[in-house]
Amino acid sequence: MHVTLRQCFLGKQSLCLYLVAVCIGTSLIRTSYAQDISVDISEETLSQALDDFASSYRVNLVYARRQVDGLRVTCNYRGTDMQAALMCILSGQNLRVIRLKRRQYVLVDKDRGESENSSEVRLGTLNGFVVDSLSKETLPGAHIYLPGLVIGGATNEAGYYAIPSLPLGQSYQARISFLGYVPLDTLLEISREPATIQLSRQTLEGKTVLVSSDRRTPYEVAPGIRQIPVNRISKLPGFPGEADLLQSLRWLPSVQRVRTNQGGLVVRGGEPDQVQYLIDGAPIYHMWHIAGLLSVYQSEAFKDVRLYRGTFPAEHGGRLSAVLDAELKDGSMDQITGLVGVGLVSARAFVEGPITKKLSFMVSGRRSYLDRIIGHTHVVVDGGAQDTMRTGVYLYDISTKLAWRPSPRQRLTVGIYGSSDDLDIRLPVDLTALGSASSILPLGSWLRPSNLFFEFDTRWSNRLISARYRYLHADRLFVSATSYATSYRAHERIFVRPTTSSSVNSEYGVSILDIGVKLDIDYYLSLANHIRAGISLVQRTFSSELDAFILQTNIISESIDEDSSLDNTEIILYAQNTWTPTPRLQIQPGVRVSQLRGRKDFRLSPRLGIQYDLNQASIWMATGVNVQYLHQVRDRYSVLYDLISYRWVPASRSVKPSYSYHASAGGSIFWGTSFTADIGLYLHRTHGLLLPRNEGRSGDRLLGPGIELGTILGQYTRGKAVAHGLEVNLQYERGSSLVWISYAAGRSRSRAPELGERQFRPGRFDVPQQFQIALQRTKTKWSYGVNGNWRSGYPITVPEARYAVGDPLSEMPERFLYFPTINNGRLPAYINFGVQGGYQLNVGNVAVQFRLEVNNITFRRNVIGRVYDPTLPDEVFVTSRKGLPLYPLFEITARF
Amino acid sequence: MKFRCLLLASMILAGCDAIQPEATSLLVVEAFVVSERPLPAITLRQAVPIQDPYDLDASTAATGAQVALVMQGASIPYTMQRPGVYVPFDSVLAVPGAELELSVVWNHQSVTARSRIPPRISLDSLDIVVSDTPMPGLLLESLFIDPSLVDSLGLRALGQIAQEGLIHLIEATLYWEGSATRAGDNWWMRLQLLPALGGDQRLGNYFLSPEVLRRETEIPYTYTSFRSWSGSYAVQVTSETDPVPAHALRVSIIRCTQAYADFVSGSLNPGEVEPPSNISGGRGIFAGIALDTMTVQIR
Repeated sequence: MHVTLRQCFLGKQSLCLYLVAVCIGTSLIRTSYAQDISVDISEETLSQALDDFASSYRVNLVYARRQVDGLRVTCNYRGTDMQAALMCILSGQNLRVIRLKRRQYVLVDKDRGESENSSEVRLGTLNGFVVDSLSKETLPGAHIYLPGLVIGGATNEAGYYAIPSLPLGQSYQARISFLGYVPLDTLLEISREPATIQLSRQTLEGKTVLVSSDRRTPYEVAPGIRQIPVNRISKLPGFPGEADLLQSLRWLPSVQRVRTNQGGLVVRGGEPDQVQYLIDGAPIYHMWHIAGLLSVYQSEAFKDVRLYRGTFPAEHGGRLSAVLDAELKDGSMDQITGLVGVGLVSARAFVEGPITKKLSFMVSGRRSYLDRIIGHTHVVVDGGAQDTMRTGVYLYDISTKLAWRPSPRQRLTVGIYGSSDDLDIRLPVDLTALGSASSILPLGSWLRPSNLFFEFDTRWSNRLISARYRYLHADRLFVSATSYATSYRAHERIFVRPTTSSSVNSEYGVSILDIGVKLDIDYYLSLANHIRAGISLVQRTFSSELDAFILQTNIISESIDEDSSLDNTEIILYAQNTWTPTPRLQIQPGVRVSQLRGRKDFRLSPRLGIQYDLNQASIWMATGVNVQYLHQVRDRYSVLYDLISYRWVPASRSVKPSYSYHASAGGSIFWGTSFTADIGLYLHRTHGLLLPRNEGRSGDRLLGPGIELGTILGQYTRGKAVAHGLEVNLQYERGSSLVWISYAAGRSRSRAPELGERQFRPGRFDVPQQFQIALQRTKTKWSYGVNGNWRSGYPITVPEARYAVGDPLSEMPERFLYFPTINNGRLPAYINFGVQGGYQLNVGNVAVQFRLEVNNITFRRNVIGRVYDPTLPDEVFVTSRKGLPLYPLFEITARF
Repeated sequence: MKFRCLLLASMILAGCDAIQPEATSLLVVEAFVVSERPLPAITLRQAVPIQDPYDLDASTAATGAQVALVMQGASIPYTMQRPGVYVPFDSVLAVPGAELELSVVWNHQSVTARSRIPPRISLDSLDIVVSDTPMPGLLLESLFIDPSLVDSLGLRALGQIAQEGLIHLIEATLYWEGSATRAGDNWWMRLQLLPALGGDQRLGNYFLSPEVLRRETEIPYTYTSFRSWSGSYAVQVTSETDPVPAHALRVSIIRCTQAYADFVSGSLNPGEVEPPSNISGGRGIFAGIALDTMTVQIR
């Protein structure tokens, strides 16, 4: 196999990043290497001698007080061998020392029957699952910390933890913590079966439990990973007052919601198609409902959501900016609980509970109800004429999961997810009346039976079925196998009858089908090494078809009938080691290799994360290479199709994958138990982007050049992008109060060399500054809060001059605008202040909550677009499109 | 303190907005060399800032330029006839198939452009069919909706640019000699029906396409050597008994280069995009074309 450096993306920049990372990592490790040891004690108490030794040489010693009480020791040692020094201190005592890992030792009694040789001491693995105390839902990402040894780890996606190579027969003081849960201090012992540790939620039945914690434990944040506590972020204001997870993510710095047709999140100034959305390990391609109002992520249905920005763990890839990995709840094993809610747009319900002692379920659904109120079809009558108006607009999403636990070591889950949107509109319109009407009300003034009408029916849907089997094969070996099938389908139909003898009829459809299998293995090699590796195989099928017919007159017509089908198969191998060489240092090197079937070259995506823990802070850095095999494109000429269902096209010989280098560094500071500050810097460089050849073009004709892949790609050119920035997130949560402040400063620029662009210009979603604040307080029954959002306006292309050019077929020259550079201007800053309040009352066993949010309370009409008209002889006429001045949102929920 | 200074500096460096408006001094060229006709006048204008009025007079003319046109290796000097309009010293016919090269020096700027003269074209015949009775029709100026009128449904804005009324449909089929082009040629055709309708006639031709741009080789032969295209347009009337109002119809066909086709295609929405220009160092269009027009009276 021929592999060049370039094919592997190990170019100069990547190598430099790694050299820097390795230097930093090496220097951190070297700080704790061999040192001169001097022990000179005489008839000192053993406990005092051990304490002095531990503090002088930063060694962690684990022992029971009963082992050392009343003992006195004498020792004189000079050298560099830590274990020898300890053996000197213990000489003459019935104790010996076992080295667990660097600077970590445990004292054991000699009379336990083992030999003096420490290598013969029986070691075991402290392991188990961390679960929610009520629902028994496993908690991925929970942290287990042994203060005595200053070691720990985090649970994997199955809520499993393992700390190997610990002496048997000991009890270990442990602290188990998870964001949103009350930390648990307990004693753990190594046993044959994995332990089950139950954590209680911080807020139970509306009452807030004050969390007491002396300090944040290490290992709570893996290098470069930003984990989102669902129950915390869902408290922040969303839209439209409903618990919508993706809406709430905008509170994170450098994460924006964009209101383009296809919707999406923009992370660190990238493009919406650079964010991968996963549900139970399977991708979802269109995650937004109609007009981007709601996402398909309903908060209650998910137990774990992780947002990886920039550098991902090696198991994730395929996108350049971010990965949002969400896992549906397995369903409570305690009792049947649920929730029903009604918001401004939709009504929703959620139920979970046990079916048998080993089987549980979860069902969650949401549906808009506007069509149920106003109906789907309406008879329009005017005199003797009759016509039909259709107003079929609805959305729904539903998720279900079954979890079977045949034994504590096994769990089989089957998740089914579906979402759908439909806009079925038929308007028989008297445009003459509409144009002259001062208001669109009453509807009867312009909705009349008509020979002329337009119909618009657009629907899109996601379907997903996923089966996952998790098996604890051995204490150190955890296996997870996943298979899934996920599809996205969209269909757009437009029928317009502009005259009684003319018509436009267009049908357009796109679909994607992914079928994939994955095998992930966690192997806890030693106390210092946790290896995660896996293999994944995915078959993707892309198809699209267009059938458009334009009848101008009885004899003049135009049509286009095309279809396209593409497929590819990707195989992925990855491996990652979480190495903890010292109690404070964690290094996470990883590599991901992917290859498309039929291609000789493979793509190598190395990653590296380093984290160093300080007493009240931690610092981290991460770097890596990401590869994206999919591009999102659309026909930029036509107004008949590609309106919502943007097309995904796979990488091929004609479309190379895009790839990016990413580096970030930052730290977290913890003050007391309530205040956390996260600060980070990032640098991102992307190659092989598809940028539109004409950025400002919008559809201006009925038919474009068609949907053939080469034709569409002809509207794009390859480009580069760079992004850098600063992110700050301050959180204060104490008792019933929450203060959330996020600030992001950054730039994202792009450049298309083929278009002659020598310098980078602001990218489509370049936002130099963004500041958000939310203050919330909850009393017994009442909750209230205020929030503010300020950010720089989005870039726009501003004309710098005007000129005129004549034409052989025109009497007068046409005036044009001079756009020398793309995105050379910016809309005014976006500012939005809101308030929200809630009231909760208990009716029997049902907790009823009313929530009201009022956004844009300053009545500021934010400018969301700007249009220039050069045709007038006077100065260029500028029109701004503005958002709503104020909009209230509400939701009523009943939880049982 | 150091930390705060570092943080402040990082924020400034990371978030500062480096967008700087550029100074504008732009030469705009307008030149269409028509096959088998005398070399044309070349119009040179300059761009003006968007906050200033743009009048098509001497205020926007580019005067004092040095203009030279090279055709088939021969340089043809130009001189300014009136502000911004440059004409050749001598009357020279544009030779079909000839390569063209234009160079202009103005205000320390040098712009160049290249093109080619297509084979001559001529309309052979024209068929016109007029509807017997008027029919209801949607009269839509364009699909570009004034954003200031967009309400929650977008319907009022649609009402502002569209009307419903009675229309006569008129179909016209043009025929021209198409054998002058060969399969390997990359000539484009611009075909246009332009009715001269007075008053406040509001023609909604968005769906009717009275004009089209198409690669000539993609237009099929109707007869052995003739290609044809059919277009249609609407004429508004007020009553179901109204006949077609008498009006003149200008029918135009242009054989052109791809640069000209791109320019015309990109001119549809001047508020959003600039038409692609083949002027190196400036804006505008320099194109060799073959043109024929015919005006008929519709009664």
